[in-house]
Amino acid sequence: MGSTPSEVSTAELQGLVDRARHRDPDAWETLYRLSYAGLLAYARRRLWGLTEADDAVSETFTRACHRIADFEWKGGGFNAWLFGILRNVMLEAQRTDRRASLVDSGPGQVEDVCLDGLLRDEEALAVRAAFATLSPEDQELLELRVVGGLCAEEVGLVVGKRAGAVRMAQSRALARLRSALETVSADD
Amino acid sequence: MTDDERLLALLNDVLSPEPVQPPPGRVTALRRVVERVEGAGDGQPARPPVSARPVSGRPVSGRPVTAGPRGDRGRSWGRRAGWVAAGASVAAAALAIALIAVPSLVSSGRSGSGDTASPQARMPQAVQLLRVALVSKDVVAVARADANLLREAKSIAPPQRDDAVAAHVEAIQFLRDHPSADAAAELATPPPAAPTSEASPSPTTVVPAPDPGLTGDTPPPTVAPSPPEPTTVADVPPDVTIDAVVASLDGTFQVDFTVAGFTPDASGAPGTHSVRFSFDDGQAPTTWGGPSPWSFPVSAGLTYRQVCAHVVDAAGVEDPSTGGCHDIV
Repeated sequence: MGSTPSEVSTAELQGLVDRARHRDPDAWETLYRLSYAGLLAYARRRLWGLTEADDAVSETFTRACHRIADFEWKGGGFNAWLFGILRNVMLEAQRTDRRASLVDSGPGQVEDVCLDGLLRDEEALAVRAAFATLSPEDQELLELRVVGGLCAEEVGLVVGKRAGAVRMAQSRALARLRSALETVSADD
Repeated sequence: MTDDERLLALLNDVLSPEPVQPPPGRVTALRRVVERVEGAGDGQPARPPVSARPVSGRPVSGRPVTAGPRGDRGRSWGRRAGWVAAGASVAAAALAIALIAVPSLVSSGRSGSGDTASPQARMPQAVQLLRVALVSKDVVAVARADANLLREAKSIAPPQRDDAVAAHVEAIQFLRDHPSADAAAELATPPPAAPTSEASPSPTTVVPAPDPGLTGDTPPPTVAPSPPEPTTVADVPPDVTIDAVVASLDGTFQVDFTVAGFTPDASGAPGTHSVRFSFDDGQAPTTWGGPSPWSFPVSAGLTYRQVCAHVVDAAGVEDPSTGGCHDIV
């Protein structure tokens, strides 16, 4: 418990995926458990409620089950593939359900029950407030890197950009975050 | 450490998820999905069925699903994606109905200890017994434990119902796969005079009075090792088809039915139309399709047959008794 795909060795992950291709329920369960927290956190910040986020993760794995034959290891890992599916699931949900909306602005909209236990000091609060001022695109790029633990190549697969462009965008997003953090701190 | 690295570390502290684990019911449902995917067990990666291919704006499901009259897709897109125990839908519905028969329970001692409790600690004893029986692959033991679970269903708290439904679904599937005269005899034998919630209801248990108009003389749902499927054409009237009664992982159940030649409202196209209902504890069914005629009062304690009769009735069939589920329960 508590492991993430990035903490599992590549060989072990490849073994699990190979078993998953052959419909091994145990392998799928392990992959689900490994990926659940990160996927849920990512979905939780973009969908209307916890149930919808949980449903989105479930839908992601349902699709993964059906599409595992299409998965290839080149360019990105299994985790990036799952995040890509989840992103599509959420986009579809947002198109078809007006209740689900992107987190677009305002510090109050970055509320996440998962964060409550972590926001114990002023610095974390400041980071949270600064992060909320970023554009949804910037937030997503940083979340995929931090929450998803994805490298630039993998983030690129998820959002449909080249790795170089992702690195550049993430660097700019960090710069904007730093600037916002200074502003927030100065206001305090 | 560079400034960027330090900032990322701070961000990591703020954004990183807690190491939560998926709910047991969803894990079980995933395993079901894996087992039901086309090509399972043949050692070959399966291609998704046409209806399961992800299409923008459409849910993924093992069977075609038509949207409800008023945009029910938004509410249900997650649940439709195979995360229901469709494989043993009828029997699961029996348990679901048994579960909704008591909308609010339960003495505090049985409701678990909250999110910090382990799944095992929160699992009711009847479910644990059934799990053990399933592991042992003893048909008679499974039949006995499942029957016990049904008897205990009323005392299972809402947070624990996912586990109960999932275990029951597995049991029914197991019993279907392993037909046994001994198991049938076990089920036919009245249970010993063990204390059950029905025999000795807890003082805190509230049994709502059934709707007099709905009760009839239909007996409460009972488990059978091989319950008939509701989807056979022979069981259904010509214009209303009960596609499935599906136990949902949240303790509700849903009725999928198709009405030929019926237009539910201005937004619905003429012709065959599929609608799914969701019944919650003691509440009127959540009519994803909107109000009348898809809205009708339902009290707790209904049997599967009664629910189907109401569905058929709401769909405008003159004689609900001829609805497609009179032989189900």
